Amino acid sequence: MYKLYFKQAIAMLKQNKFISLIAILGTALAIMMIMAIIVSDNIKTISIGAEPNRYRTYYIPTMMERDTVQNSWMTGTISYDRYQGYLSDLQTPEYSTIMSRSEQLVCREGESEIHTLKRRTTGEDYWKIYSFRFIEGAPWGEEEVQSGVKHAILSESATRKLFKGEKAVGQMILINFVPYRVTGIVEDISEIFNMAHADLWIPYTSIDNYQSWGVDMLVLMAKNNSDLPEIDREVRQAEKKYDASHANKVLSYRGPAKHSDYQLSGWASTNEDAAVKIRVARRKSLFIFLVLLLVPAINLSGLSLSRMKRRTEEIGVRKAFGAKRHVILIQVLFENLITSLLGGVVGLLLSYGVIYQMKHWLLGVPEDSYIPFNALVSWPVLLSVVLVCVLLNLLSAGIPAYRASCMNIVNSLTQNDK
Amino acid sequence: MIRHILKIIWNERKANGWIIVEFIVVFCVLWFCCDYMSFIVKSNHEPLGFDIDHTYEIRMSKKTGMEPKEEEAIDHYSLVQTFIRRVKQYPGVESVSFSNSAAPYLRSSSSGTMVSLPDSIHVQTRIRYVSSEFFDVFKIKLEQGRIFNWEDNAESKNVIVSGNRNGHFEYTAENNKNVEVSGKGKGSSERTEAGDKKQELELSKIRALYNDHMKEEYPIVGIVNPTKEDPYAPYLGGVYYPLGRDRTSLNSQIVVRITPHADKDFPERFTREMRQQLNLDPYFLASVVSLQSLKKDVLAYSGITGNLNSIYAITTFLVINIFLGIIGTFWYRVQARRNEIGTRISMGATRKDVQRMLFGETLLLLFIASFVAVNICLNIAQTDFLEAIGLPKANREQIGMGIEQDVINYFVTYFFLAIISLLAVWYPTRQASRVAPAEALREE
Repeated sequence: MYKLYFKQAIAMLKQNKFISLIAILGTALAIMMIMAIIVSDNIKTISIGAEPNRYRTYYIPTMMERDTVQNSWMTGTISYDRYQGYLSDLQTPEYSTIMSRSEQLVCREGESEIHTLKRRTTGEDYWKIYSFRFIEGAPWGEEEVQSGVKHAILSESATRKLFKGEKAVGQMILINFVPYRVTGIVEDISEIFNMAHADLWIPYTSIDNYQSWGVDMLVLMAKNNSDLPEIDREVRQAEKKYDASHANKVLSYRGPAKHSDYQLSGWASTNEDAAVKIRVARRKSLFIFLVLLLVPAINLSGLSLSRMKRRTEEIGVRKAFGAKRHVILIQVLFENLITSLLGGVVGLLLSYGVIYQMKHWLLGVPEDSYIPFNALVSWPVLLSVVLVCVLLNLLSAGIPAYRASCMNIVNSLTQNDK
Repeated sequence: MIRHILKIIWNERKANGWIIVEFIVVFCVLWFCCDYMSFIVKSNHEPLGFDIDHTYEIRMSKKTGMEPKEEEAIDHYSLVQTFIRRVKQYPGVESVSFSNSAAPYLRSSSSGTMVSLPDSIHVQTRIRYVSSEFFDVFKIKLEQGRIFNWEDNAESKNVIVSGNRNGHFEYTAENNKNVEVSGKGKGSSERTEAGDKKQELELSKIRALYNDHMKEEYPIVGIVNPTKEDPYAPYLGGVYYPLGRDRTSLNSQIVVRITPHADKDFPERFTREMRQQLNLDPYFLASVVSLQSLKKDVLAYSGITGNLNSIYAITTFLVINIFLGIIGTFWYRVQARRNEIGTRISMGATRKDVQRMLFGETLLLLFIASFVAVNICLNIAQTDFLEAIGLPKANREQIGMGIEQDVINYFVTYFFLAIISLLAVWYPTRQASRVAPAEALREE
């Protein structure tokens, strides 16, 4: 039966090529816009490539300290002394590391050509939370971080820039005029992994006076994603521990924030602040989705209704021969779904084009960065494109299909539906 | 004619309902896009107060890992003098400025409260520390008085001020509870949203500014043109202090203005040729960046670029949709009304007449929709709906947009949609007017 519907739907599409084209284009456009948002969201949150543990990674990016006597407060990134002894020995997370990223001037020892490179200072667990392929050398361990040895790991492209094909491991480089030894080279990763990406990595302890610098972020990786409440409890305990030893001070860390929440809230100094931002961001997406779905749905409804009008006789005949209401309903919806799916496929492909062209805006990565294939095509994406198609189909063909199924046989046979 | 068309619209009300609903939704969204775009365009049209064409920031970095003793021994001021001498010798460099929290787009600003003398009114102002060449680098115009001379005067207390859009300082009664505010010497006052009165103080009536913290008086020697931090920020009153010797170092903001013809590849050329000369131990040349490119970063960071991109995207989307919707609906309508059109032509209506009727139908539909939409928009604008869902909203107060903006929004949106609709309806009408009357009538 569905095969027949399918044949009929294709025949109808062919019969009125102009209107079919308009319907498919309208659907494709809507799907393109919606999928561009969904896919770029998915790229920001999916656990793959260099960040395979996003689903169980939590961040503590900022803190706020209130002075209850002066009634003043200070917000900013976490200072080292509010990390060490408070957040440094959390029990629940499997791995944890602090990290900071900044641009630094780097050159090869004895050469005058200076490059600006993104440097990440990290602890040893960084290499376990994120996934890198080492071309040469190995990540540093606890010992190196303890001793603060000046070792650096370079990305492949940074190595090319600095050494131009010569052997790099074992050589010396100057990072902001401080000598470091290159101990490893890793394969480049895409900049969509913005938590892991950098050009070179050094142990955070290798910086002089590292205790006096702030920490951009504390990254915690749980054994599994049900540990969040337990980690949260530990972090709140750390706050209490700090408050107990500092009179008139109330410290609150922002987080632990889930990866997806952190992407939505961006810079926020407190959890309440972040919650508001997340709520607003969710409402915004909901509103945008609504506009993106409703406008084409109204459009297509109008078209479908006109089309239904022309098929009044056919539906009348089918009903006269005993077709039930729901059969007509399902048939109309099914026929329309074929248009929707056709539009969906075109729309999805177009959305990839849009993301590729506008990655700077949609993903916040430089124009020349690449996006791995498995970030674009994944089960959640494919599932959501089908879902969006079905939803758009229901919205756009629901009313026409219902009307068609309710037609009075006599009226439709005499073409008198007014 | 209009009554006739209205009758036709009423007869086709079922199909027209969809089009009207779509028009209403699209009209509302485009209305707010238009509102925001007007804000952007108007803001862009107003001068920044700083001229940033052909200006570059020179960033110097300091070597890390120095001993505290070495650190103390650095003579920052003489390094600065050497720096200025060497940079000025470079061909094309017109002027070099040193400043702290002053230059636009360098993401550093400070503000504070000053007391105006003789009125003793507390005013909130931007605070900038600058060398005298700052005004040359950014081509800030002197409106009254003179510019202080930095080299001789670096320790003196002379300051220069700038006002808001009217060239006044602003203050609120909130900050001046203990000051009796007389009507004399005050400019116009306006009510702000919060309800506390924002009042204005004429700059020329102020003799000096008094800093409560430092317990010091700063005579005003000059007034310069109003400035804003970026095109979409408000004009704020500001105070320019001379950048003191003790505050001047190669860590300050350093901006150079170059002649237009030296602008080509300036950063690369300058970096290459000056790297050696600007190796002023412990400082070294880190980078040279044009302020235009820094402006781009700031606007992207503040979300303006993203907002504009979203507006372009959603406008394009809606326009294409309304285009497809109208083409589709009228195409069907023309098909369904072949007999009617045939009759009209056989009764002596010209093709133009038929076309005109369909065009009129479209415009009238849009007008009916716009009437409903405008009421929705005006009501939404009164609420916090846009803020609640995080959509960009025009800051009407800041730019002085009033009710006339609603009229502009209406006409711009209406004409924009009208053009799109007429383009869309053109293809079906062409088909309609080609109906051969005999054929159409025979179909019956």
